[in-house]
Amino acid sequence: MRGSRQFRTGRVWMLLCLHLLGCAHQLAALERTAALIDQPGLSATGKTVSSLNGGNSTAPVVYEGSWGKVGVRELTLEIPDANLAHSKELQTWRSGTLWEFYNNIATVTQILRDSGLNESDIATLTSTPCSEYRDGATILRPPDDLIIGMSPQTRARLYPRIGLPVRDNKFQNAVPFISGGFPRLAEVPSGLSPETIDLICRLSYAKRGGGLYFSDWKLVLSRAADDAERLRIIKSITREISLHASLELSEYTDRRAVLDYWGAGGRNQAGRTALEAILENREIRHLDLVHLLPPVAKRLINTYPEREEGLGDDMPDCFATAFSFFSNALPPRMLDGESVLEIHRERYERATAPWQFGDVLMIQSSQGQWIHACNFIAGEILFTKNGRSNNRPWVFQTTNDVLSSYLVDERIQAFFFRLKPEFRE
Amino acid sequence: MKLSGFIFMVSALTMVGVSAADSGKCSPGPWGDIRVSEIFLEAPESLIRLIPAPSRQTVWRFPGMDIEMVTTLLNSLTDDPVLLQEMRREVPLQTFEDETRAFPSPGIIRALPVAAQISLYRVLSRFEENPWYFQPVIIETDSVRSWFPEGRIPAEAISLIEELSFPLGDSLAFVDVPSLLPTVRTEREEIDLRKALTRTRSLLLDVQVTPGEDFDRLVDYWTCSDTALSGKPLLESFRLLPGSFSFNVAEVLPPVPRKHLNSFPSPGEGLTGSYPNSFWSTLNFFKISPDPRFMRKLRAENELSAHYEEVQPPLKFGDIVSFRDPARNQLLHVCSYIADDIAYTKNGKSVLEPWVFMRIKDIRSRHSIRNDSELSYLRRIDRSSPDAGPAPF
Repeated sequence: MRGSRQFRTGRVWMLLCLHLLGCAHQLAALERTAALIDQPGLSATGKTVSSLNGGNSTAPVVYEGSWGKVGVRELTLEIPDANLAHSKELQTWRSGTLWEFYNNIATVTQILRDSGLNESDIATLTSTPCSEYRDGATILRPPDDLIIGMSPQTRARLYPRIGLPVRDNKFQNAVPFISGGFPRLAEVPSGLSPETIDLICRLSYAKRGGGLYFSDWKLVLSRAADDAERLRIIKSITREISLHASLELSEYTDRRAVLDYWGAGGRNQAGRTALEAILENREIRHLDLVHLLPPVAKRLINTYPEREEGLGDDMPDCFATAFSFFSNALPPRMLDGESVLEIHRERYERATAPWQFGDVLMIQSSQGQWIHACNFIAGEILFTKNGRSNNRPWVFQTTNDVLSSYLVDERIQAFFFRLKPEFRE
Repeated sequence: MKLSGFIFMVSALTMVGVSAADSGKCSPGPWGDIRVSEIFLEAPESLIRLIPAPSRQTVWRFPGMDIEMVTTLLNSLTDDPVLLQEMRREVPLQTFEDETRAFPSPGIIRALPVAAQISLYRVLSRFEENPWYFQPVIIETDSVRSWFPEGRIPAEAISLIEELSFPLGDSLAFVDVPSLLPTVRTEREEIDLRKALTRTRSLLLDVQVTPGEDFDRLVDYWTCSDTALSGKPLLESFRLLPGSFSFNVAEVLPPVPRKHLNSFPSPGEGLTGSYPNSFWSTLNFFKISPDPRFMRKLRAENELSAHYEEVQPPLKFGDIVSFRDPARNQLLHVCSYIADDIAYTKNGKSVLEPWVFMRIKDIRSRHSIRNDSELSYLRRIDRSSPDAGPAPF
């Protein structure tokens, strides 16, 4: 998938938008990131160390800089069984795929045509038994073969127009795949048959920016042999890539510089206290990064949200997490979406390179909407909560992987922000 | 070191596995192959500065004792008429309605014989009003010089600590902090000294996993048989890694201990009127959001009584290790069992006490300063189990 046309398109668009940043140092950093999409062997210093290849490598990738040497190995996280107990996908797959349009049949026909379906398929879809008009909605029941036979481009044009803009709408809120799509997620043994993997790949599609998505849950789940396979399918599709990161220490490590970097100018007191103690023991050569994180990130990294952490159905999202990075606890106010953006406006300013531990990377859509925020850790490593769902964990991911997950349209822009000096104490 | 005959020696802990303190490894067990590294935490300067600078004058406070009772106590410390006369001259007393205070000179503190110091410390350590006596500086080695990094505090201070500290289990205890302060000359030196006195040993625990290892057993242990689930996705992701690898136990802890391990309380955590203590830390071990009511000892004891039962080793991850004063039938301390002879503990409510991994024998030493403490082990009752027994207290 990495070499596919879809993927390369995404890269081109991202490079285009990054050129629009108009900030030379920022451009330099992110342009390199974009270029890394197909060159995973480059470290932050430009040295090829080893590749991040879906967890099959035993050697870590090493990023070297003012943070010291940070080695990472790729991990593949799966939703815990407890979260799946309430999975809507498991409860609803039997109803089969339904396309609901809140339009009359003539408009729906035009939507299907605009999406690229051929006249024969449109005729099938708009006549009985596939079509029904009920309570102001035109409901289509597309045959499996028709869904499978659609091109990714048709899927990308059609799905955003199905249903209402609500959270549970799997067509408008499709599952975003990390760069490399489902083949990358399935590189680590998933327990799925090659046929099922192939089917999921065929049903994946790219949005305008090139990011890869999946919507056809009911079709894939209905073809599974049993509930056990259905569980494996859900767990595999919703897999999240994370990084097992550690600070590598040696007699040559500049301990003062490392302490200064992770101490973040006094904002990461807890991490600094632990690191001071650890650096004193010269026999420690390998330190999991969890020990260096400030309290909120330390508590959350590589875990899935618990319902208790939410405010009703609102779970901590990327913004709540990114702007609480140096807090001792995640303030409840951070669950109010608007409040977070107010904090961003009041307390943060554009950052200048070199990026610092905890800097906030924000991604903006072409409409000027902030669509994601995460924190810079070191090298190409970001601390991120992708999406609001409690089926997505807090993870470390590379800049490249985070950006590729948010290629929703032609022009995304990414900016680094940092707390204004008056708020750093 | 002067009080070499100090009686509060703690017997070796044998019930939860043989300590492997010197080998750098835990004993083998269901927790896997654990490599142990020692680190020494010191409170950050910002916390040290929150605490009002102590006086250089040692004060012995005797709440609930009038001047006659204190005089009688001081007179009973020695039969030496010369020392008694010096004490009358160099230990002025001050009386309050419900308390008597004594202000000994440094010379008297150093002149007191071993037995006298033992008797006196036993009285003073009962009262929280004597913070250094109530919770002494613990030096978890028999060598003061090896505990403090070279050059961190003045040589004169090291010598004084060596002279005035006394054995406590395998450790040394030091209580005369005010008499130490004149050994520093600048504010910078004093902050460094006070910081160094908060030095606490913690342990980094790395689980080494080799191909072919029974990973199901490891997952079962560290998730407490699927009851501590927050670390499970990460553990399961390790299963998919090729080759040998290691993970740190901190990574698979439940959220509350993971957040706090190897850190000191933040000032904000004291806003409820008290900083987290051992009860709060232990009873919130498996919780997603900590319950602030567990800071209150009575509430904690009720919780233990209602929802926990006594168990015998082998212990499980997250079981409670409880320390009681048998003479007073008083619960002194609780901590959470991790593996081998290691527990997760917050020793006291002080803002200067960090959350650490510590060997259980060392925790026991700390909580045996007044009387040797008794250990017992508690496990949360699975109410769904037909074997759920009666409450332990």
